[in-house]
Amino acid sequence: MTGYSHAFETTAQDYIAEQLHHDVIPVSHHQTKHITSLPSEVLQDILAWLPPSKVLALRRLCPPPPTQSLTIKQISRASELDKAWFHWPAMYQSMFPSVAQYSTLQSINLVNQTLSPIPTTLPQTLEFLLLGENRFTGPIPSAFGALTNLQELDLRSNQLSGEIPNELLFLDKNELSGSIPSSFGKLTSVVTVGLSGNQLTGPVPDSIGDMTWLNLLDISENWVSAVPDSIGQLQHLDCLYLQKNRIEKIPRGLVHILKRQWLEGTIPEELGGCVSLICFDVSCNRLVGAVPASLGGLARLGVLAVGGNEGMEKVLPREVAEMVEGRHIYLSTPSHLKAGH
Amino acid sequence: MVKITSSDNQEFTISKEIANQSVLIKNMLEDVGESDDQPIPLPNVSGAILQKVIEYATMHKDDPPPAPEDETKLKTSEDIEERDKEFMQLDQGTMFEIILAANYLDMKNLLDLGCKTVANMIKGKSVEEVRKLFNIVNDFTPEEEEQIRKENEWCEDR
Repeated sequence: MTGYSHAFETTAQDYIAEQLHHDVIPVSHHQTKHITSLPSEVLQDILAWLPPSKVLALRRLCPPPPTQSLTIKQISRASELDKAWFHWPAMYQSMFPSVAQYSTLQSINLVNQTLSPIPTTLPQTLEFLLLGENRFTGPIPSAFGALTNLQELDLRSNQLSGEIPNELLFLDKNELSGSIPSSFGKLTSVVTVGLSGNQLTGPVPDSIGDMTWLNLLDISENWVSAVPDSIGQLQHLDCLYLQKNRIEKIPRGLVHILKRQWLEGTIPEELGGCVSLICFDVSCNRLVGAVPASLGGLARLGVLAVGGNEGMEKVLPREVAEMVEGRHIYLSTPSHLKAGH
Repeated sequence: MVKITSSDNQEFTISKEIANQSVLIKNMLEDVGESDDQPIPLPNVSGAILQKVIEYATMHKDDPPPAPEDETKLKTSEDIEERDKEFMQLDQGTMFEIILAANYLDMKNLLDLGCKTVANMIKGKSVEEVRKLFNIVNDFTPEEEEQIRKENEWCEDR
């Protein structure tokens, strides 16, 4: 092609100039096209350059309102309104699903708004996601697992079902089944986990010891069978609720409330090493032996409840008795317990 | 050189580098092979519009190849080059025809320019002003419009 074209080549510019001179159809008065005659993909392209809130306002322009999901290109000019996508009405959210990722919210609080369905696209910046007391059904979105900055997730009092994905959670009072996944150990920045009042089975995974910043763990009222010794590695754990499960052995680490389990055997001596222990309640189990003398060294202990274990020794060791007398410690021992309790 | 003909049978001869800015023409050239001297028919574009499109392509023939889409890069409809702004100083009908042609010819830069320009026209205008600007007929029933107005209360500037 180049072989012959060189000889005749005029630049396109020259060509246009020449054409313009004997142009018979003036460009500006050519047939009129309206914006509404543009194909929908082009209209969407135009709208993509506008802030989503502006586009939503344009719904009032003419019917039908846009029903398919729209995208945005202009990420620099997202308004505060756009960033607050999670507080948009659901219909508008479904029109602009992609805006969610540009939201820079750190906290979303939708507790008791009776929303449905559960949001699945969430901003990476999220630290607090509070979705409790709604009517969410079905499984917990696995997308929650990607929220690496999340510190608190509250999903209590919903109708969620299925197994627990790899998240940190406030999932109390649902109908969750299966066991706690070992991937919980990856949630190293999570501070609180609430799983009470579900139908969880099996042991708590060893990896729970990797949740370095865990401060509160509530697994009460499930069918959990064991708590690993690794729980003792959690230096920031202040509140551990394990009551009403099927736990058969006291872990060698930190233990707070192990009331009404199927605990057997003795209270481990090592418990004296859990210096941050505030409350130790193992009442109403089948424990035997004595309260270890080492518990006398627990400087922060405020509750010591070992009542309701008929096989335990009735007398406290001297170190523990001195501690109880020296401070205002709530004490329940087998001898203090009323018959039939 | 490449020959193209418009819907109204105007023939244009353009250089290959100009022609290749249209992905549609580029693909066609690859399909028919270089030896074919037949003009490429473009039945969706009039001669007048094609001329404007060639003008744009000529203006941009020395542009560096576009950088791959960078998702993290800030995008805005405000970053239009001066020469492109001047190019888009057209009546609305022509502007829309150029957008349609860019869409048909698959010329991403020109389509983006057109879309940005229209977006900028909409920006900062009320729904009523936008209707007027583009001659859009409001065929909502008053009840329907009131319903949407209510739904829109949270997002419309007042």
